[in-house]
Amino acid sequence: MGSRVKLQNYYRSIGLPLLVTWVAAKLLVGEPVQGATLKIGTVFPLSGQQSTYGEESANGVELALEELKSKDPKLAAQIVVVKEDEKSNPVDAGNAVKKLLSVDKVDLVLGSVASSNTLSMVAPVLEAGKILVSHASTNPEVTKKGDAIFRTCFIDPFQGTVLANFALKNLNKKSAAILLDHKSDYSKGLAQYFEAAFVAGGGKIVAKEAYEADNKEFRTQLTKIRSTKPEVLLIPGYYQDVGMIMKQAKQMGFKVVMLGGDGWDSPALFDLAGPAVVDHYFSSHFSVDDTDPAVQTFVKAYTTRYKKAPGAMAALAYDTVFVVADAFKRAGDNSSAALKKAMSSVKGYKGITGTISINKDRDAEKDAVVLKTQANKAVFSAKVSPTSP
Amino acid sequence: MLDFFLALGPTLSNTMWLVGIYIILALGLNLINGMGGMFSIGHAGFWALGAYAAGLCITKNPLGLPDFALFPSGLILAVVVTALAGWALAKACLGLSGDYLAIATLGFSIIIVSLLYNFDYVGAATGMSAPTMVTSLGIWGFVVLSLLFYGRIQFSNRGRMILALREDEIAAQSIGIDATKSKTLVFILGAALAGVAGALYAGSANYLNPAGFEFHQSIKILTMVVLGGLGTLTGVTLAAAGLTLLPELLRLLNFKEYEMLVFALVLLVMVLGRPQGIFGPKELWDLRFIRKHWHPDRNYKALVQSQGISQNPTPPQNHKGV
Amino acid sequence: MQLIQFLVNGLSVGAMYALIALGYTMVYGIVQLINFAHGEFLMVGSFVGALTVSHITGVPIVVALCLAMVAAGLVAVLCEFIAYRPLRNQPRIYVLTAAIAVSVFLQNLARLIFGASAQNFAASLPMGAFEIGEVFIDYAQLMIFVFCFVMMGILWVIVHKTKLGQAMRATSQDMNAARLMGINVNFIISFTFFIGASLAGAVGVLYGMMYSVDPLMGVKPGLAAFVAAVLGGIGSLPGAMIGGLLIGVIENLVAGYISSTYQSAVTFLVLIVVLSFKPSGLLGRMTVVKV
Repeated sequence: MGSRVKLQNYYRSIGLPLLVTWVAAKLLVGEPVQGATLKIGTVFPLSGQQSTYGEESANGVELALEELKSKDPKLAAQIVVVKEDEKSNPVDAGNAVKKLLSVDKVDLVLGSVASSNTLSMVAPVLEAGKILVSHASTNPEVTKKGDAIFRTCFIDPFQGTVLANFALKNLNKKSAAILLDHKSDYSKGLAQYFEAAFVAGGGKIVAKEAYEADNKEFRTQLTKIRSTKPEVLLIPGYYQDVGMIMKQAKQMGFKVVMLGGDGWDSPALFDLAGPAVVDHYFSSHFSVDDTDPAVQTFVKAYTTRYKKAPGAMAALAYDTVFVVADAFKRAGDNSSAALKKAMSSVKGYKGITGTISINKDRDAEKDAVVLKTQANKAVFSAKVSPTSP
Repeated sequence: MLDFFLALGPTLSNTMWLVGIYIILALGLNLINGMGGMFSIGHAGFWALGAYAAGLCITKNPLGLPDFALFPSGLILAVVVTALAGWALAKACLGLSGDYLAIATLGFSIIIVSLLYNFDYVGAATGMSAPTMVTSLGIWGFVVLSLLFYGRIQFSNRGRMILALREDEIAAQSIGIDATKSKTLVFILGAALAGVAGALYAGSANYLNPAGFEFHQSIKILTMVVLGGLGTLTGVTLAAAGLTLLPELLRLLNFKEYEMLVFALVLLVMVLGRPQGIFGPKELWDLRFIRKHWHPDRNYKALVQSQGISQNPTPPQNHKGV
Repeated sequence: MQLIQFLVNGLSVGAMYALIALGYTMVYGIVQLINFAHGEFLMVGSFVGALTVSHITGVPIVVALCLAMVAAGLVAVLCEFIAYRPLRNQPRIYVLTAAIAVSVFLQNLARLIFGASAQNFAASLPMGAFEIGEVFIDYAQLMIFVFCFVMMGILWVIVHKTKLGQAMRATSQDMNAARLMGINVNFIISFTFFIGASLAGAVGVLYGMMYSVDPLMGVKPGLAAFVAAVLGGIGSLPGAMIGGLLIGVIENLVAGYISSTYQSAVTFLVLIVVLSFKPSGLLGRMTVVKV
């Protein structure tokens, strides 16, 4: 018994003061203060249908942060990133962003890819008075929702116009059909702007069909489209469905030039469509063939690190981290007002996806590239600038 | 690990609203599946209907109502619409036996989601953004009301008739219980509770999208009911709360890759090892120290005295299910 | 002319649905269980087929097909043994819940092993089509149609011309009587699961070659086949075939004349209407409850 009492006494005499000192030290000293820190929450589709986009985006962010560390170690030390998964659906995107805002208390949210999912993240961000920067959601509605929503990619009216003019002028085609994904805002928006520009340029839309994203059988839609004999077929969808459509068109013996947007831009398209993939065109944000040394450095760094070539999502996420970091540096503060002001005044930032300037609608104005598909990769075909699309 | 505990508090308070909504949903399905013994796997369809009815009322305000009346009118509309839909589905399908009824309800929910995707008026794939109309506290007020409502039915005459029907339909009919009427009633009430949950969701989620009401949501609600014990009040409530919090906790533990896998395993192990639910057919008030002082059944004391079973009351042995 | 084309497209998809629906219906006939995980056996078959083709160079597709069928069958037998057998005498809602759990479990296990995104099946069906007037019939569609009917023929022979088939039919009529006649009922149930799932596995290989392979690939055709089985009258083999073809045709006619975005809505509407007029499905037997 006696020894036990002594032991208790020992704890009381040594342990308690030690604990108190430790807590006091923790409270007094705290973290080393180095000015404001910027806490970025990223929301990407890390699992689910669009997981290759999420993976590329996350890699792009990671690579950019490492590069920032060697370029500007002081700034890099002030940036913290928390990752969340939106599982490729709008509901989980909303939940993920609510978690980032209330639990992690992030200052700025970065993401996501599909416009439908980004749209579901807008309301919580605005309600919390924080900032949302999307690197890849091209539907125009996204930034119209509030003055704290920015994006660093071009928008679908521009992309649709680029594709329509490319079909009219470069390919010299006058009739087009559209096959769109009716569960996606991105797809519907792109189709709408393509149609407007194509008709304005003297072309004719001969057929308009829709599909549901989880369906894999497209023969009936393709049958209807074939009977109208279009010269080009616009498929403003994501690569998984596009791959199936190309494959089935080839199996049916239906030969037509297909056009698409940045939703095609994934190495998986070439795998899924197999030999049916060749000689179609899509618009995107950057090309790995670009001879610009900055692009080539990025492609090399990405390829050595992740053992595969970067897609557009990686490049966009990479650029966006630098744009945000630069805005934070200029703002010198992590308050929403300062960040908002700094983000609005981004002018002529030279990134690997073109020169980024944020306009009054908080969208980025920059070049698009049109790529041509070949057996296992897409090659550069044309570059279109925002002033003369 | 420290991070986990620090984040626990905000996460819990942040999910309380959703917990409340799932409890109401699970109670609604429990009325149909647990008490009524009908097998519905399309509960998310009613939920969607209620949410969109209320959402339209709140965002479009077709009658030009003042702001304070928007949510109440949305709630009323949601309940009316879901009750009508429940009545129509019951009219069409209650003649069907267990499995066929399950498929009909599944079909109903798939049709609802498909229509939501097709109508631009309700936002189609874009969904609907709605302002916050109810607080977490308000939702929990409705949870309490729903619990009282459920308990009221469970211990009413009609409730006992429905239970009798579930146990043995033919025997119950032979003593004069109107099977169709009782079943239709319970189906409508279950649907209407989903309507209440839908209106609350529309008023607190900020964002409605057809993708949020797909088949796996029905499965999730079904899991809550089975896990809690078909036909029990407290078991289902606790299961609904637990299963809503579980994914959020897994998210904190960086476990998200395994979330659905864990979900499926829990469900499987439960069904194999303890099919009668976490607490079996027992309710919280069957605990000795509670039932000594309080029991929701007003006739409980008289029952105990007349049958002399005060020491060890037999819980209802009625889990024949479908 | 377009109508005929839509019918052709519908019949080829419908043949696959029919083959999957046969599995649903056989299992239901014997243990009165709607096996929600049936679509996942298709996925298992597809992945096994795809892995065989991509890892063993020069392997004939027939070998991959057989491996896929055996693997899907074995997984089904295992599922039955672990998840369904202990619950055989429990109320049906528990078995159905177990089936749902197995389905979600298999989907997510596949997602963890193979990743969520769709992959290409290394072997593909021949490209090109026969042209008859304005109607095009793909080689792929024709092959699938013929293959599905050959498989149905084999199944018919197994069920009606063999001892095992006789035992299966006896078990489905009255399990206890069959047991008294000396039939090993547990074995027959496992065998039924094996046959049903291997048919789904075979469809999985075709489905993979026609489209692509991913962990959730079984959900859509599984649901369609499920509807088909119910529409035809669950428990009836000819009913499942007719139901499958019918669902395939309805889906394609809806896509052709209304819009493909209403496909699932119309399919289920047809189902609800049929059920409310003829609750046992088109060819189902009405069961009478005796007091």
